[in-house]
Amino acid sequence: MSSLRLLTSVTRRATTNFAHARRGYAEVSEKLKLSLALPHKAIYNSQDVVQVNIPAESGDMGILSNHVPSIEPMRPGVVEVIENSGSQKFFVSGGFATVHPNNRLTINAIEAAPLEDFSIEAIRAGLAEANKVASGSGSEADKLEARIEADVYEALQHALAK
Amino acid sequence: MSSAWRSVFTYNKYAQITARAVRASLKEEQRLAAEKRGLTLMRYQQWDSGKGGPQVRGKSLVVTTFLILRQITLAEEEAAKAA
Repeated sequence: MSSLRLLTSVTRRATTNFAHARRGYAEVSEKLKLSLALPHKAIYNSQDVVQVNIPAESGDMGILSNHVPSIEPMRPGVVEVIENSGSQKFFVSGGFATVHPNNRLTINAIEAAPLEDFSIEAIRAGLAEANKVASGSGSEADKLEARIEADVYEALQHALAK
Repeated sequence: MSSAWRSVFTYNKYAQITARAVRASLKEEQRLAAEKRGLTLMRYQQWDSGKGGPQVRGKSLVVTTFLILRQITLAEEEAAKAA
């Protein structure tokens, strides 16, 4: 009988505790620390930011402070970094975004550059060339390579058109 | 997303292809700078009495391997002389 009473009191306490740990949106008070690193330089090095939007393989996603730890492979696409002072967009060639448990986000890519560094003419020329190779009579690997390149150029055009 | 490349390319090769396309799309000035560091297979630096020399980038595996082997031979010859 007493053990039953103990059990019920434990469950009651557990439910009240659960009620205190409410679910909610990620806290914005503590800043997310972003590192955006390329093999040749670090664009961001553990800098406080508000939000980062990444082109994850599974779909575009926005990362705020206190995000659940995760590893996301990225498509070639736009990484948008939102700071208090404004936002900046970079085009990355793909890579990985890792959210660490201590509120840090690291993004690794081979190439990344601000959108204003890209030339629309160069992209158009590249796309035309890649499409020509992709529909040509080369080997399967060559055509696939051109297909991948064409996807990158299309993503770039889409990013610059906005 | 298209993961058709998986059966043909490794991830490293795929990353290399996308990076090359991104580099080729840059404006003239940035593109030249990017292509200079472009495809790097190896990077080495020779250290002499505690000071690092200039960093040398290898674009071709054959050339870089040759250079490194030559450096090693030179170092060994010097060591033999000193002994």
